[in-house]
Order: sequence, then structure tokens, then C-alpha cells
Amino acid sequence: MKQPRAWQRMLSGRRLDLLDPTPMDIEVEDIAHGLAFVARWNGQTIGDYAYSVAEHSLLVTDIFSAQNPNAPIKWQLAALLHDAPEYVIGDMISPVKAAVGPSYGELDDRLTAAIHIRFGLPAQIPVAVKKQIKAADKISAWLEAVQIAGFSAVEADKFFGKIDPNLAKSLHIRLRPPVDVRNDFTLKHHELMAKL
Amino acid sequence: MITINTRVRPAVGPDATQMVRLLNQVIADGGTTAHETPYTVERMRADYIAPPNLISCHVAITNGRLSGFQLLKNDDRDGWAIIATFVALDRAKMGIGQKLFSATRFAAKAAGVQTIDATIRADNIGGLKYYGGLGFADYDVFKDIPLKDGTPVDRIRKRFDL
Repeated sequence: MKQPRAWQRMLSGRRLDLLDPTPMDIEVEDIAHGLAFVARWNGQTIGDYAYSVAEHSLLVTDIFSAQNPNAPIKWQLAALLHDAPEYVIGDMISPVKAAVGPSYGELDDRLTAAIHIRFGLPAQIPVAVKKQIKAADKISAWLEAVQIAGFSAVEADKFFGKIDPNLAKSLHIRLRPPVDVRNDFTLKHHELMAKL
Repeated sequence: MITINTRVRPAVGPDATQMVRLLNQVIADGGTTAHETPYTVERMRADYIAPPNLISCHVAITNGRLSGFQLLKNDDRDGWAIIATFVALDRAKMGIGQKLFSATRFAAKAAGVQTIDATIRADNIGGLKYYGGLGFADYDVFKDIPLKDGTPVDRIRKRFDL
């Protein structure tokens, strides 16, 4: 029996196998472009532009760097790429992820490893670093929830944990045209790679 | 006609079970691999899928089944990395090792590795041929390193410069 197609042609021309992704088929331009067009919150956010995964990734990198000022460049790069698999599998909101079960996680893990190897990061990053990135991710989610997704602060506290009120006031969720976000994401990536 | 289709991708947690099965078959065969005692899933995860000095661990999937894996990890020597390769006994000489190395070589370059070390038992003819064929060159020998049963066996050290 013929196997169903499990690859996608990316804009760079790369043919990425979704089930067995190889680092060689990964390009940052495809990631930046894709993530700039993937909406978080299933697009249920206020404003004229979606809040993209690329914009979220930039914010998480800033939060991570602010909270871990001595973190090596490679972990800043890992923070920038923490949702990179979503350029292939899309942003699935948490309740859907939970409903789909562990196979989604495995797909995500395979892509993460391939993306990390592509950019010279260890295929698996240390648990302690993962936790630091997750903490920054939650802060970003809290801010997004309250500022653009219609959550009250009390609800956001419940789902994402309380955050430092000063931090909450100092950080603003930006809504911009995808092309601006894509370019910033690519630039940030190049900057970090150059410093590695 | 049977088509052989091999794909290579990074190893993830759930691959450990099939990797253990493959490695333990190689060990049980009484071959000349570096390992002499059977592996467990936990040890496979700790030593191969997510060791602290990991650069990459790739698995080869041939016709839907795990047919080989290759580890690349940082060495204490600056710019050096260490490689280890295992291919299923019934899948030898099918180009699986070549495919694995092409992925590993890419990972090594991305990670800024300059030299890859392969240290192989002198009686592992297949292993010596494999690395030699990829372009690894001899650079040192550890003389008479005993196996678990005390038998002294040399370890041939090969290097691949990127």
C-alpha cells in the first residue's frame, strides 16, 4: 500500500519530512516566515493582526534574557526557537494538545531535536534550561492572556501563575504586520548565531 | 521486488526501546562492539538520547523499523567529538551507516566540531572498514585494553577532520 504523504514543501524549496525530520531540511527563513503567519490563541485575540508565534518567540527570548542575564547565547537561541516546531505542526492550544495525547509531544520532540541540531544546539537541552524557558513562556502567556485574549488578571494567575506586577506593567504585547515580525525574528536569529 | 527505504532523523525518548533491542542483539551476537553488557531503556536514554555532552543522536528507520543509530558527543579535547555507531545485524551493508554519518557530519559542522574520534576494537573488522570507508584515518592505538573476561584487545583510534 502506498504510504500517505508525510512531507511539506517549504518556501525555500526544502521538502521537510514531518514524521522523520532531518536537520538538513531546516532553514531559518522558513521558520521565521511560517511562525510569523501562525496565530496564537487560535487567532482569538483583539486587534487587526494576529499575535504570531514569531512575535511571542521574540518576547520569550527577551524575558528569558532579562531573567537569566548570565545565560549563554546558545540558550537565548534555544529560547528563540522554543516553539519553532510550530512552523510545521501549527500552534495547537493547550486543551487540544492534551486531548491529542502523547503522539503530539513526540512529533514536537523530533522536530525540536532536528531544529536544534541544525543550528548547532544540543539535540536535547538541559532540563534546568528548559524550565527557565518555560518560566519565560508562562510570563508571555500571562501578558497575552490579559492584554489581548480577554482574560482577567485573576484568571490568568490561575492558568499561568502569578507574575511580578512591575514586569506586567513594563511589557507590552505588540501587534504588527507579519512581515515586520518575520524580519525581526530572522535578524535576532542571525545576531545570536553570529555570537555563538 | 522489495524496496529498501531508509530515513534518518534525531532520536527521541520513545526510540529507546527499539534502540535497546538493537544494541542488545548486537551484544548477544558476541560481536566486537564496545559494549559487553546488555543495555536498559533508562541507560539508553541517559547515555545516548540525552547525555549531558550530546551533540546529536540520529536513528535510521528502514521500512518503518529502527535499523541503526549513531551518537556524536563532545569530547574533553577542545573541538573534538566522539562518535559511536550501531546497525542492526540483519541490516548490515545496506548503506544505513552512510546515511547516518551524513546526518552526523552535518550536526558536527553546525556545532563547530573540528575533529571526530572513533575508537574501535581492533577485532571489529566491520567497524574499522566502515569508518575507514567514510574517510576516518588512524592516529593512535590503545594497546591491550582488557575486555570484561580479561582478554587484551587493542583499540584503534581514528579521526575525521571536518
